[in-house]
Amino acid sequence: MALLGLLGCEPMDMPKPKDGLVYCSLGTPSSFNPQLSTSANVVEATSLQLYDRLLRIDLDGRSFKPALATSWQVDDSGTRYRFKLRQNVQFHSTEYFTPSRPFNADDVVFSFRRIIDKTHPYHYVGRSDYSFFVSVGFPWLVKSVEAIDPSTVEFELFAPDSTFLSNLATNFAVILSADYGQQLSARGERHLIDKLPIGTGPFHFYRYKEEHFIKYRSHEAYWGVAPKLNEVVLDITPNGTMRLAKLLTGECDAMAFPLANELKMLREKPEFQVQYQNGFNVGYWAFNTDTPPLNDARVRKALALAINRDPIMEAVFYGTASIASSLLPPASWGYDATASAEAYDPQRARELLAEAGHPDGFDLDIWLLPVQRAYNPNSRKMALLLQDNLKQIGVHAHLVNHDWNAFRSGLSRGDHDSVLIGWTADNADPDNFFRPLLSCQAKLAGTNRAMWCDKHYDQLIDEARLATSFEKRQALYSQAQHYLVEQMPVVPIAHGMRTQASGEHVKGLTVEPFGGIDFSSVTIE
Amino acid sequence: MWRYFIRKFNLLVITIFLLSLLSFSLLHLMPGLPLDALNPDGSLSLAEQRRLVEHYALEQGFWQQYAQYISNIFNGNWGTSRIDQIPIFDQMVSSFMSTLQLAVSAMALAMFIGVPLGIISAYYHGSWFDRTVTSMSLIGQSIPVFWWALMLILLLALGLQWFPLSGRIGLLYDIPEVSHILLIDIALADDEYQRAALWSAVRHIILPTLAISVIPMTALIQITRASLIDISEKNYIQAARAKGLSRYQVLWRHALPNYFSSFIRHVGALTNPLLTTTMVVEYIFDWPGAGRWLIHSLVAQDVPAIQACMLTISVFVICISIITDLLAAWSNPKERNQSHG
Amino acid sequence: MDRNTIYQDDAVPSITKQVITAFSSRGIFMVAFWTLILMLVVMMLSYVLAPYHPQHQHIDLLLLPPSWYDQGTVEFFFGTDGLGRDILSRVISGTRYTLGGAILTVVISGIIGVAIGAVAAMLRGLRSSILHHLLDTILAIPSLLLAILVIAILGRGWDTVLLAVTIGLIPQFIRVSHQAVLAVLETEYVRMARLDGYTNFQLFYRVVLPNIAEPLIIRFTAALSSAVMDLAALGFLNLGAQAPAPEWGSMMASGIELLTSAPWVITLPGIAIFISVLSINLVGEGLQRSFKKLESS
Repeated sequence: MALLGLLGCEPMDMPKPKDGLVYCSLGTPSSFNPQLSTSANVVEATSLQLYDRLLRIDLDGRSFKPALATSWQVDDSGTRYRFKLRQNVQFHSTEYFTPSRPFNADDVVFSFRRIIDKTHPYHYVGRSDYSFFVSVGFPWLVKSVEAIDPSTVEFELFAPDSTFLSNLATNFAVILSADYGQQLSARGERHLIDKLPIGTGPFHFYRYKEEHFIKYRSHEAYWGVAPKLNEVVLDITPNGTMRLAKLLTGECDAMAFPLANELKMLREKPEFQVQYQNGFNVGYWAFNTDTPPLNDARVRKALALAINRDPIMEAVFYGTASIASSLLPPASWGYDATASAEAYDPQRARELLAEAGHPDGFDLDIWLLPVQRAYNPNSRKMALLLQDNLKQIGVHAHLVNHDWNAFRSGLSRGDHDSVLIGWTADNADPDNFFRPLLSCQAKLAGTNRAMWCDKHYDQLIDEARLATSFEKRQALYSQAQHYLVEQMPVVPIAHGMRTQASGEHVKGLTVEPFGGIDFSSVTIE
Repeated sequence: MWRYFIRKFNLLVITIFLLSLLSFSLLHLMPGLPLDALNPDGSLSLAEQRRLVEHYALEQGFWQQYAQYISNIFNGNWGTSRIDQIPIFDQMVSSFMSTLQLAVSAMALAMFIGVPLGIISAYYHGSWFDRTVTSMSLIGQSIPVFWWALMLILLLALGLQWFPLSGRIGLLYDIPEVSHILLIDIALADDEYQRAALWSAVRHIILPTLAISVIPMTALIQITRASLIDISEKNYIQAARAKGLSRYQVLWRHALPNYFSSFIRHVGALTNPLLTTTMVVEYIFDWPGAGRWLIHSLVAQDVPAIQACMLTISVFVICISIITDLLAAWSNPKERNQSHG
Repeated sequence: MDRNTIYQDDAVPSITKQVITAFSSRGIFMVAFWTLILMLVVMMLSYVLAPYHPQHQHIDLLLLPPSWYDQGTVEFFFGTDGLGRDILSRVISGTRYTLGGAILTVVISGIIGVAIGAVAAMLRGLRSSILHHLLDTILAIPSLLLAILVIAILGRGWDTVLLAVTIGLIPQFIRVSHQAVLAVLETEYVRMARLDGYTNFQLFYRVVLPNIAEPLIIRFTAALSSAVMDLAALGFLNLGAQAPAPEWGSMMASGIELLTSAPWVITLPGIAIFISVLSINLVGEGLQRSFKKLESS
């Protein structure tokens, strides 16, 4: 034992490795391009490190800050947006790419045409359906993207859209390098574009080992304030306890999303700091409305009434979440407190089931979210509680466990009866909840876990998007929320807090309300 | 000796043939068509599916497919992992080498401690020391390794914070993989932090080594003790004692040499439990080895990776077992007559 | 066998009796033996003994520490887990899974393995050598890896794991019974029995089986402890029994997330596995020593 202790002590004269930070991250990203995926793993690992957007959303959720675009204007019809671009922005120069020119309008055109133009050489590279952009209707909204001159870009829309700028400010609307695209095309290696990424962000890609780590190095020629860290390593640690354990042993300097039950212990230790932020997210239970008996709204309502949310808040979230009465979190300007899901009432639930012709209940699969998220840190535990609740009304729930890939593809095909899942908003616009989760477009894009496609609902949210007056939009979203309570395609369960923890030697780390993590202004003391 | 050698070689060839057949059939044993097993989430494009059909010769008969499988293996063309699209062969080499390093260090520790303990307790057969060691080894044999590993983590990593608990080197060190043997790679790396990197690697390997070594260590204690006691009851030892040799002399001159002539066979027999334990421990300590990879591939239904892990690990075990048999036979002609054991 | 009383010596007790006498002379083995018996009783009476239903969630009593802590209560002797389920009840019900499953797999694989091994030994010749090579192949695959292969093919779940572990145990039984039967067949008394006109089956049942009991019993206890370990390990790796089944290994796996805040959730199932494996090993060791004593006396 004494011998072991000797080995354990770090000798004082060992040189410390360079100014680097190890961050315990949530999971292996499926690609290095956030355009392709809505997965939080991809956003966390890439968006804010490797890339920039044209503009960024302000913390209040309603105004924008310049990024790669320095200014922008809309014409009177509301369909032409013109962006003035920043000068002298350099792309990453790495072992596999040397930029031949700085950032200009061609790069913006390249990045957005990749999404909307099926003839773009990179459209099908990476086999993506661009699910975020499809789910917000981007390909049907943007008519064209043109470079007016090297420092001016113009987007033309088919119709005015109040959410357009919000969507450009999301973590998904990143700018790629057209120059890199051409070089790869010339070498016949187009598939590398999302594996060996190039962007303008504060860090550049250095090394990656699957399911193990990602190493980024600082981008010396970054246009903004140069990052203080030389190196950022994302240590991929999907298991929450392991992340915490690594933070405690000092293997990680900072960690994503400490498990709720461990926050108390962390707060008590002075050598660590915990940051919180009310998240723009919602954890919900989605019913596959294509399969009987869940295609009957009465059955869905009965299931919703059978759920007791109070114990869930305690057992699953340990108090780091609030009960969700609507898809929208209360902090959103579209939130309507009167359109609230009904409270726990198993008696009424049994009556509704009997009314719908299932007095003896039925069997139901519940798919479990295989990862930990702020909106659902432990889906298994949540499902076990639901299982208990459902037994009271005669519904026998079976828990179904899949790994991430099988889970995603099974959901897109609609193999599930119901699933515990959730959504982290990419911007503060209410449309960002309603459209990607429940619209007919979202069903096509494969992000609509309820497989729900309802004309009336789509009409409401489409009108809200076209509306230019703030009050009109608010009224329409309120109607939409009332309609959802009536139809109950999903049962909102909780709005989780976004949390992260770090050692006290890490300075300048903040929680991003819309996902991702920004290391550009972090220092190590 | 030559006949023995040929017999063993024969066995090796046939066994490897059967193992390869088993690993090949895995693709056909999976539910659904082989192509579905390679493409479980249906995400591959038609062109990629065609490439797979070609790579595995899926349109031909069973034996042609098998022949194709074998030729792919010998060409180092083991396919690409479905999860991360990287060549399986490269990943197999790198992860199996990490597994071996861990297994070897655990085995070394087990020998370093287990053999002397076994010798001492055989020498003081029946004493309090012997009884303590024997009961400790029975306890060690019964500890579930994953529980033991978690206790080590709780105590030494989280409690005392002496050791890191995952991976095999601090992530801020940049050691290029050349030989796949970490110590050599660190020595080759032209890095100013070489010493610190070495230190970090040593600290990383200690906990998993401690966790694994309890299994081979208890086994070695028991084997050593039992066979030394066994030998000392043999007639010639009794005769030596009668001649007036001291117990100590008997141990050094007769019992120990006799024991070490079959030592290599005992170590060979431990390969199997050693690798099993290593697989579980890798999973707990996130050690980037073949066991952790296999379990992850299994959850992700990555058939080519499962095939590769299964074939590599089992061929390794059979090779070790045959090599140790041969070495034992070479050093001890009596062993040649045993066909199995 | 008739025994003459003309001679003055004592009646020789039956082999079983001698083994029992030798076994019970050492206290520790008897303790292990009774522990094991106690666990079997607990397993059979688990429905009655468990203070609560293993699935019942005491929603207002989450993560209650064991009773010897200040916050613990005697009602939940070993505390509760993250869902408010009584850990003692779950460990008690878990005997049905981990211990019961292990016994089931060992019995089935034992019957199949001994049957194959004995038949092969009695047949000899070409078929026997094919069997040898097949056995060598299967024995080259670590049993956990073999179980993992079966799971890869059939999918995760408790039934699959039982099957996987059973398959993993069969080769060892084949090998042991094959060698033991071969050894017995070469003895004089078997030749005598053959001359007496015994059929193969009679020969096996009356002559061979009693004489291979020793290695089989020892193999049986070894297989039992490795079955408990394998079932728990697979449960721990999340490949075996699925939630909410109170299998000890999977209880530990789901307790990992509470490792830092509620270590008792994993400690108790771990101790349960440890004690059952230890007592099985001790009983096995005791039997082995008793047999040895018998031979040397």
